[in-house]
Amino acid sequence: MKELSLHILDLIQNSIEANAKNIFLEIKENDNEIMIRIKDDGKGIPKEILEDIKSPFTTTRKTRRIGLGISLFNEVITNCGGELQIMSEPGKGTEIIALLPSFHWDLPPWGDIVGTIYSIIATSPHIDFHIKIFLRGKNFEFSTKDIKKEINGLPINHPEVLSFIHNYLKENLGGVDS
Amino acid sequence: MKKLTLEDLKKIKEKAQAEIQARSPEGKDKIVVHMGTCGIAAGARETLLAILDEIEKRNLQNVVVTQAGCIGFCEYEPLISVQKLGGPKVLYKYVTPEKARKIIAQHVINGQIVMEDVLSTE
Repeated sequence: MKELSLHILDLIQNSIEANAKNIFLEIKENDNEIMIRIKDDGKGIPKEILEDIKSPFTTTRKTRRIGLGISLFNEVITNCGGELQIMSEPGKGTEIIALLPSFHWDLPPWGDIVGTIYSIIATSPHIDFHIKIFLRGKNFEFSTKDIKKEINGLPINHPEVLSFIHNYLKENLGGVDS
Repeated sequence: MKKLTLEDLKKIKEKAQAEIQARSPEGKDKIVVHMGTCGIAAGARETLLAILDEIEKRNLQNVVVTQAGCIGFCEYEPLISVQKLGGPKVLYKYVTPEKARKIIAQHVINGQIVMEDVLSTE
C-alpha cells in the first residue's frame, strides 16, 4: 500500500469487522513525530493471537489463516524507525498506536485522508466515528454522533447528507493529503 | 463561498424527510464493495469513491452502499457485488473507478448486467 491513509482504512476495516460500535481515529503531527491512534470498542483480540499479531500468518479469521493488514503496517513503521503498539482486551476493544518520525525517506505520503474517512462513514452508517486530526496546521474534530443528532431520524448515508459530509471534510481537511 | 456548518444539515434534513415521506415504501438496490487488505491495496477505496460520486451526482436515493471484507478472490480485486431489488447478486471483478461508473449506469440504473466484467452470479 502506497499511502498511510490506506493503512488507516485497512486498520479501521478490522475494527468494523470486530463489530465495533464506536471507532476513534486520532492523528497528530509535530515537528518530530507522527502519532496515529485507532481505538474501538469491538470484540477485541484473544491473548494468544495478540502475542503474535504482527506476523502475516496470524489472524482472528477462521478461514484463510493469513492476516496481512497489521503486518504490512508494521513493516512500514519499522522501516521508518517507528514503533507500533497494539493493546486489546477481549470483549472491550482494541487500541493501536503508531509512532513515526515526521520525516524519513521511507515514510509513505498521507494520501487521500478525506476519501478514507468519507469511505468509512458512507459504508458503515451504524457505527459512530470520532475523528481528531492535528496535521499540517489543521486542527479538526468530527463525530458522526453529532451529525446523527442534527439529522435526527434521517439516515446518515442519505445521498444529500453524505454530500454535506464529503464537502465538510474537504473544507476542513483539504490540503493535508500530500 | 460560505463555510458549511451543522446548521446547513437542518435544511437538508427537512427537505429529505419530506421526500422520504412522499415516496412509497420500497426496498433498495444494494452495492457491496469488498474492502479487505487485498481490496484496499488493489484500489477499492477509489472504486468506492467513484460509486459514491455517481450516486451523489445522480441523486440515487434507492441505492445503498456497504462494505465487506475479503472473500478469498484476492486476485480479482477490486471486487464489488451488485444486487438489484428482486434480481440476482452479481459479483464484478477488477472494478476500476471507470468500470464502477459504467456498472452504475448500465446495471444499477438500466438493469443490464455488464457481462464482460462479471466474476460470478448467484
